[in-house]
Amino acid sequence: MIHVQGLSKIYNKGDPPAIDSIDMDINDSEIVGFVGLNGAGKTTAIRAIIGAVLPTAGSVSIDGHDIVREKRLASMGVGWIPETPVYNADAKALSLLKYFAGFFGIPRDKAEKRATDLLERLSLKDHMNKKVMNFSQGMKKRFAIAAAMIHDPGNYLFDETLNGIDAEGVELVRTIIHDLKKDGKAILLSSHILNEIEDSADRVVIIDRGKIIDSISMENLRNMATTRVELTVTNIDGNVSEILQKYGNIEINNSRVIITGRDIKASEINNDLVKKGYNVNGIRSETLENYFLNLVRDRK
Amino acid sequence: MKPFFYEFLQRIRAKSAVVFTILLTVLLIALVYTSYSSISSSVINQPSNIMTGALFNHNGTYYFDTYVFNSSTGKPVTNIPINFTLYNSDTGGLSNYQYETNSLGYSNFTSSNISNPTYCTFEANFAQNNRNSEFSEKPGGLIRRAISATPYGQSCVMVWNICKPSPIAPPSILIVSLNATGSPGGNLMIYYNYSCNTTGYKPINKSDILGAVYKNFSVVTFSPKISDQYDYTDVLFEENGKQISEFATFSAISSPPGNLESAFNFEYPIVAFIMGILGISLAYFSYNKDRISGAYQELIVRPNTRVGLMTSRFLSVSFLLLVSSSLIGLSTYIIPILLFSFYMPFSFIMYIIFSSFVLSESMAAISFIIGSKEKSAAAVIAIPLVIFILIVLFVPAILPDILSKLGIFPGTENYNLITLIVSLFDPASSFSVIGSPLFRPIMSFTSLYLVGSALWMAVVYSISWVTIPYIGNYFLSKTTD
Repeated sequence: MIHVQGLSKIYNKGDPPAIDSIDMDINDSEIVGFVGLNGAGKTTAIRAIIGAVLPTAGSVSIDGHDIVREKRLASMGVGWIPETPVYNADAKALSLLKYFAGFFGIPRDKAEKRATDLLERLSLKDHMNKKVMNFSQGMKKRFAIAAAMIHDPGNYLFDETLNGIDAEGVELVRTIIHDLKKDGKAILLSSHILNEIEDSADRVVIIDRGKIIDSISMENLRNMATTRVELTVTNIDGNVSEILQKYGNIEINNSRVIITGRDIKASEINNDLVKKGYNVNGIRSETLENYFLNLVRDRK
Repeated sequence: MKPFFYEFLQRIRAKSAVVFTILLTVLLIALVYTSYSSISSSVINQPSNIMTGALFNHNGTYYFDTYVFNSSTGKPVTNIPINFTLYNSDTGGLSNYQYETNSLGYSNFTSSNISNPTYCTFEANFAQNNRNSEFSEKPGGLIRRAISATPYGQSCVMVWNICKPSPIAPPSILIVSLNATGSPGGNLMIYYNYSCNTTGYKPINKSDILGAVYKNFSVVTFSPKISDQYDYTDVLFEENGKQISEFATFSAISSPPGNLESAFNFEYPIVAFIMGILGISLAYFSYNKDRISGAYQELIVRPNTRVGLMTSRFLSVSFLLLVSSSLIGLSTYIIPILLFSFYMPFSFIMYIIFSSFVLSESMAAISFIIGSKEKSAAAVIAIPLVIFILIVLFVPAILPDILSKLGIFPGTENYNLITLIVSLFDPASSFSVIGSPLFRPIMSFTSLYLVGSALWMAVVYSISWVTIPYIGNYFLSKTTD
């Protein structure tokens, strides 16, 4: 569990705070979506939470350990997947993971096994002896996930992790995030792909200009906001309309299907169609996006 | 294992660290060796006077003999004052005598008043008679040879082995003065070509000796033979099949000629200087490379603290430099023995190790502070280091002076705080801080030297501190994504 209280960061004196008195909890077995416009302070907040930058004020507690005063114990309990992973230029994937594992006191043989398993799970097994700096952006992101998972922490912070990952990678990351949740991990998922957060998160925290402006569960969000799900079905037929009627208003234009309603989940619709043999190519949900944009516009 | 130690071990075990240390060590040893060779060669090619002497105890009377020859021509050096100094261990007193060499280059005297002579020096004073032009071994017109005057049987023999300083230098020479007949001042001189590589360990070939004896000196009256079963430290001389003497050499390996000492004094500061620059570079890159590239973030989110991370990096750099300094120190101690057959005083080794290490570490600490944005963390490293330097170097150096002012301890010459401060940044003089008893500085530098030295070090290291990070940043910006 991560407990954030009054967290502020001012990089230079005289500048406005990058984050300003942030309060936030990320509970075990919970995925918290962290959304905001560019420059809103998402990354600063995450970096302060994991101890990469020292906060100007406030505190961060990870599983009860303060990230500043009890840095070592706190860091044992958290994994960070940065937006832009950077590693030592000469480091090779497997040896770098083992090196990271050493900081947590994991014996070399166990570290090797765990690193190998993780690289396999993240489809990087064929690259385990290659230099990480030569990886593609997507591969680096997947490697970053492995690096964050090497010590099996109880808390994870994903910072724009899905950026630059191909569809297959997105699916893989999505599966891992859900598996982590099932394992009881606390997860903060920062992304500007709101659709992704909408499908995965239990709760959404919205940050704007360094301040938390709202924290709302997805259940409440769906109840109070209209969801617009847009999907493409390549083998569409007359039955689709009938299948989807229960979700809300249906609008079909060639292969494109638009469903508008309350408390509907794009993932459920997708599963429903796939089970009945339809090919769903693209899916886009706009509940959170609508809600978020309205919220931000109101503040302006 | 705590992350701090883990990171430290990872750093020093890294292949790059091992390769770097080896390359650095080999490079600097090669630098020293090359310089030794060239300088030694130039020294040995100059005419150099050789003095040899003996202290002989016969029925309670001590006989002092010495010869001075020109090593190039083999001719005696005449009319040179010889200062004989003898230490009587029973009385603790020193006795001084002066006699000029005669037409054979020979000078001697006898004394019956010395109950237990344990140390004797023979000093040829070329300056006294304005004969410096004949002398090239050491500035100042003095050559000095010292022996322990422990009699061996009835003989006390002094061996001076002026060895081949480099593979490209002319052959070395060995001069043995032997009082074998019981007649003080007896004319037994042996001169032969000798490879220093075998010094002390390999039996001397008889043919080598005989060939050389007649070639260079006419004063030889015996044909010596050296038994093969004895090594160099136990040489047997025979005349017509009859043993005339057996003696142990007192010094199989001689001290270096004076000009070589100067060469060492010139070389070691260079080694220390290079180590200093490396200290800056290594410290800068060990931490700032990761900080600038962003890889630092990946480390700080592990169970590391900023101070711990910096300290482990700093200590790993320190360790590598210490290992390298030590290897250089020991190697430059061993190389002269193996190749040139003389050894440097151990204090010189300490000088290399200590001045190189302290200097490089001082530079590294400052580099950390200047190069790092984590100034508070860098200060955690630098402050203890400064305290260490103060305690280990300054206090022992200053304390005797303070005590001397209080009348508790004998005073020191040419010593003040400025010399100490400069000595810390000038490897050439830093030796003085540690090289004397109780670490007393024994500097005799002029104030002009001190000012010039201080300015020089300030300029050089300021430039280094500015340029290395600048070049480093440029390099890192090109090599990191």
